[in-house]
Amino acid sequence: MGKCSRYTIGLLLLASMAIWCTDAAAEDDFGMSYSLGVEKKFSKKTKLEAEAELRTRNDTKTLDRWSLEVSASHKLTPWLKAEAGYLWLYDNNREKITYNTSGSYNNWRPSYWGTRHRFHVSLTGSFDIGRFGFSIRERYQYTYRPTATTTRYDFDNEWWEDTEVKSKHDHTLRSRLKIDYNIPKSKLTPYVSAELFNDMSLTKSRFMAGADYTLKKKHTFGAFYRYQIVNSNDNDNETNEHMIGFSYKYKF
Amino acid sequence: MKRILYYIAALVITSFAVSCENDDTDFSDIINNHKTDTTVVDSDTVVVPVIEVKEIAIDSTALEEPSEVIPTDHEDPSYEDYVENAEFKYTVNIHFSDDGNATLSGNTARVKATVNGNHVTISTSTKKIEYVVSGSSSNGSLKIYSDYKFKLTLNGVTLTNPNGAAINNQCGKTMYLVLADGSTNRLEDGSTYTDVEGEDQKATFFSEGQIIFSGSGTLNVIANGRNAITSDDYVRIRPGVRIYAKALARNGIKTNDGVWIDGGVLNIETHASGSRGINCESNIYINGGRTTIIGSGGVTIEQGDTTSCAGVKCDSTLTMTAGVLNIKCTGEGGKGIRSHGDFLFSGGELNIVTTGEKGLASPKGVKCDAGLSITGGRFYVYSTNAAALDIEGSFYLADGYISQQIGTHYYIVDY
Repeated sequence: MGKCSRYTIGLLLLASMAIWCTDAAAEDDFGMSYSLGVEKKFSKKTKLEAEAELRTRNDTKTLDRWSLEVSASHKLTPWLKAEAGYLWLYDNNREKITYNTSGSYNNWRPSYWGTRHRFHVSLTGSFDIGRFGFSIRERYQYTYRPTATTTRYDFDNEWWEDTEVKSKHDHTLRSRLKIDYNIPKSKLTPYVSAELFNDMSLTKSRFMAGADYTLKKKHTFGAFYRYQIVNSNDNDNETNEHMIGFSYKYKF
Repeated sequence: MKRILYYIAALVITSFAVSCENDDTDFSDIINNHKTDTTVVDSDTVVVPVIEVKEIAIDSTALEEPSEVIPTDHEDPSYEDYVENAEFKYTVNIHFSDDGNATLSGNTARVKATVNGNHVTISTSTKKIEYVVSGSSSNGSLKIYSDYKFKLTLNGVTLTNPNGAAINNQCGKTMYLVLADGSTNRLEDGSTYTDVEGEDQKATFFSEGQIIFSGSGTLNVIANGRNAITSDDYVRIRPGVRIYAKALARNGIKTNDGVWIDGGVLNIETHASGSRGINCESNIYINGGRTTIIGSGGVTIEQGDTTSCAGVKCDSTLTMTAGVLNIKCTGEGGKGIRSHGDFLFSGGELNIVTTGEKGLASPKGVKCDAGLSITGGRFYVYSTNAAALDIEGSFYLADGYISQQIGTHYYIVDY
């Protein structure tokens, strides 16, 4: 069996897993993530990256968001890396329904597309024990959502009206532990990770398992499964979610 | 390598193709067909509840009322409002007649009277005077200047003033307005007023001070130019009174400092755009009686502000503990109750029907900027074209009700 065939089988397995996840946890959402990236190394310590990503939700039936990211990283020491980046997000914001005190519908704001801007800085410490690589990343991210005007339906008055979604500033600290395993004489690097999102309190948790496959040192293909738990409502109406992701990065 | 890229590209394209649904709730049936009051039983069964739309009309039938308790404690804040607790030593009789000038009799030496045809002006600094008014005039009026509270008994008077208020009380003290037993009285203004500088005359029956209605007669007030009944202080209506107010240009009853309806039969019709059956800039208390308000006015726009008709408009707290309040508004945007403060409903029977079209304003049953509390009685609100309730503040419904029916267009609770 050729390498490409093995990779194809891997994709099919992940896809099967996705379908299983959809059926197994009907109350949780399921989505896909696709990303394309480029990486340019300027020195042994410094590199620049750019990435475009697309996510889906609603059991992959609905586009969730587009994003474009540029980031730069620099190795401060052999075990400590600093990174900073900017992310432009174009979100399909979820619908919002409010109710009257009597329990009847009050307003319905359908989903709408809007932008967000995110800046992040992080420090990553890493070390190896045998063939296991451990990394701990601490990231601060600031996300700004500008004011947007959209429409909503007023059930009381039975009419559509403009509504203003006010701007929002989010400050989040993300803490991630990642463990990868260097398989001898293999271009495949499996990993697992856990990440906690804190906004004065725990808002989200993410658990991932995936693998990267590097071809000719220039092409890196990645696939992962991720489960996200929403620990507290951050007003974005996010739900717990299973996600399968595929990525490709070109290095030059 | 190319093969892998092909696979990935195929996967991404497939994903795009299946990711074009939106995940919004499907409200199309509600929005397009106005089925807000349907109840989904299961995926195939939708139940449309049958809600009785109450008939509300002017109701002048007799009302049996519980006997009234007259406060005897001087410390009681309402003690002074009872004519039974006041003493009147002098009586001045005023009789109107289209056959000649109005005539005065009785203790006339206690007052300074000016009679111009059937336009009578009284000035006095004497305490404890009762005026008894009778007769008829199609061009007459009564204006009173007094330094002290007084009693005004209407004993079968019909008075029309084509140029202003029929009765204009410029005294800021209490006016005990007594409807003589079995009497029928009628006051009417003109469509235009001739005003006196520095003096108000805001209604067919206007008083600077509080008006305390009592007795067991009938008062019919027709307002062609301004409000029907207005006090720049407050109005109290006691059991036994029968009032019919018809306002063609403005409000039925308008007060600055409060309305107390303790009993009686009160019927109000308003027809003007932006008019209110009862319009109070302070608190309203409904503790008995039967009040029926019919409003047919639409919407006015002044300097960009939209004003819609309402059965009751209260700028502070509206409290209902007993009695019956019936309201029907039929004009565009006409609301049943418009309260800027809390609406506290603890007893009695409230029936509101609004049937107006939705346009510049929404004909809601009850619109309340503060909270609504329902703790007893029977509460019925139905709006044909808008929400039954629009409550900005908290909503409290006490336990113990017998039934509750909730829909966008109706809200019914029975204790």
